[in-house]
Amino acid sequence: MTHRASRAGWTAVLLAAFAAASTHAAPLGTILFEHESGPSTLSVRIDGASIRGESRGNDGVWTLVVSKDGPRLETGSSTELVAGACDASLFATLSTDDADGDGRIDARRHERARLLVAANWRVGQQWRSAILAVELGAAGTATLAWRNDSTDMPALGRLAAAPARLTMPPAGDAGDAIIVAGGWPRSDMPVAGGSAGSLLAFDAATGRALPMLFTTDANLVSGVTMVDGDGDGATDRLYFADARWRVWRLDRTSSPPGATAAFFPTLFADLGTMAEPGAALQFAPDVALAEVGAPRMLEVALGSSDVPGSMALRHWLFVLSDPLPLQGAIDVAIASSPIRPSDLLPSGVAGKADEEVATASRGKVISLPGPLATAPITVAGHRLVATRASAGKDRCTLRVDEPELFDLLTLTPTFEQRSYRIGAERDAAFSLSRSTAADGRSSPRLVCALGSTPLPQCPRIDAVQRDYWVRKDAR
Amino acid sequence: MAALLVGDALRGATLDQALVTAMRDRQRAFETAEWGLAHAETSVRQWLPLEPADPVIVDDQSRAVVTTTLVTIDALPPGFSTGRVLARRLLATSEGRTSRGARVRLDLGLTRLEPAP
Repeated sequence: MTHRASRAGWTAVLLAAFAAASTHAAPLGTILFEHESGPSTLSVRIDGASIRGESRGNDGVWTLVVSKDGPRLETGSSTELVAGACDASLFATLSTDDADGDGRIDARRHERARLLVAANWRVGQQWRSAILAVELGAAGTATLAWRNDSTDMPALGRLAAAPARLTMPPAGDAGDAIIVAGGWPRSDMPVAGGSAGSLLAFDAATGRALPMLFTTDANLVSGVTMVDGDGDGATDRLYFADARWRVWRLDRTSSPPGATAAFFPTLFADLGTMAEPGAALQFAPDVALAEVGAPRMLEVALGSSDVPGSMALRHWLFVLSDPLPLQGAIDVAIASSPIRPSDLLPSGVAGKADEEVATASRGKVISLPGPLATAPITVAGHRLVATRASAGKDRCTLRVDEPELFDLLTLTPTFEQRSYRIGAERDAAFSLSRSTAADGRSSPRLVCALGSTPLPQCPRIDAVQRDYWVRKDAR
Repeated sequence: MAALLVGDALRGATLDQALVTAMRDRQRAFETAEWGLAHAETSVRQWLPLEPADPVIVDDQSRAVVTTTLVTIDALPPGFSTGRVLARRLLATSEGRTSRGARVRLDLGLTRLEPAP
């Protein structure tokens, strides 16, 4: 956990932007990772079926291409970046892998600097998928650490979300698992029942398939959000949604470390009566600890977006309240009935009376102006939600850096709403970054962006706060 | 008798002077320690690497020894999305020292919010 980055290394970073793991990877991002030889930066760009990594100085250029024959990793700059980008039957999602949860992608000690990729390609009417771990070398070069194809995993569907690491104590690869929701059905043909409603786990070190964490009777199409509630570095909770608009929560029990099956499932919310045809809860829930209140309360925000090939008439954002125990693992399911739409307060008139009712309710439901474009994000108590303002554009007519219109909704802690229309990059994702001035010194401000477009609507964040001051010597 | 009174007054004045000097020295050590904390906070704000023991020379007669250590990483800071932002809890300790031997130690708890990878 020691900070080993050299000063020169830090100052070399003009804009260290970290894209958070979400169902849509950021189209552009700079990953700062550390090796024994020092810090390195890698520009990563994803467009449909291509993921391009390019380190500073071009000493490490590689492209992971998803083709009709599956994914392949190529080195050198000769590979076309947009190969397959206009083919909707080829796509990939990407996330970074912070093995020890220290906020850095690093390859020191037992860690490895890695990217996690879920790749999809279609053979006839059948979809095939693979989970890959791409290991970064000191100069930003890439090698394939491991790969697991769906042929080994009958339940693996058409993956919609990026993989994420489930951390078990002690931190590191031992006992950790890479988690991905089973996704859509493998076949384009309608299937009755189906077995893709599974939360899949892979050994973080080898990619070997582990026992599933959870199964249900509906496809798991959303990203998975991990929560470390007590700060011990281990995952305590998981939130995700299924195709029937049910939201599930898994709580870690006190089973021995390494047992990924030691999670207790709870139906947290059943929002099925508000399900819209052609819409699904596809993005990973945004989970944030409420700034005030006792007991500690998590706010889980998730919204609907269009199913590929469909266009729903209405879209919703749900903000659900969930109490968080103070310490340790949870042995017993928290006794409460699932949240239903009737438990939620429709967002509308602001005011004291409204706030009082909101406190008594189990959450809020808000009508969205369009389909969710990315997972919501909570910044300094404010929740930012981006929806697509221009639907139905053909991907092939747009370059990856061509702007698209988004409706940005800002919700204050009292649920006052403010709306803006902005132009940002296609397939944009919210990111938080710190900027560095020309003299190499970092700004103390965190910058909030949609894609690469900075958001002035984002609340100002003072990155350093004084918590306490005490005189320790005897007077 | 008068000589005794004068002598006693002189001793008292000398004692007062010594006490004032000691207090002034401690005050100087305190201000030096505060200076060190300000130095530590600036380093944290500028995202500079945490040095194990960083001496801060204030003047010829006073210096502060500053250490900034990581206490814990909070993956769930209130008001921020988990997995998107983390809070690094830091402890800055500054010991102000003067050439006359006064020492004052101050602790400062800091939180730095960082974008998660």
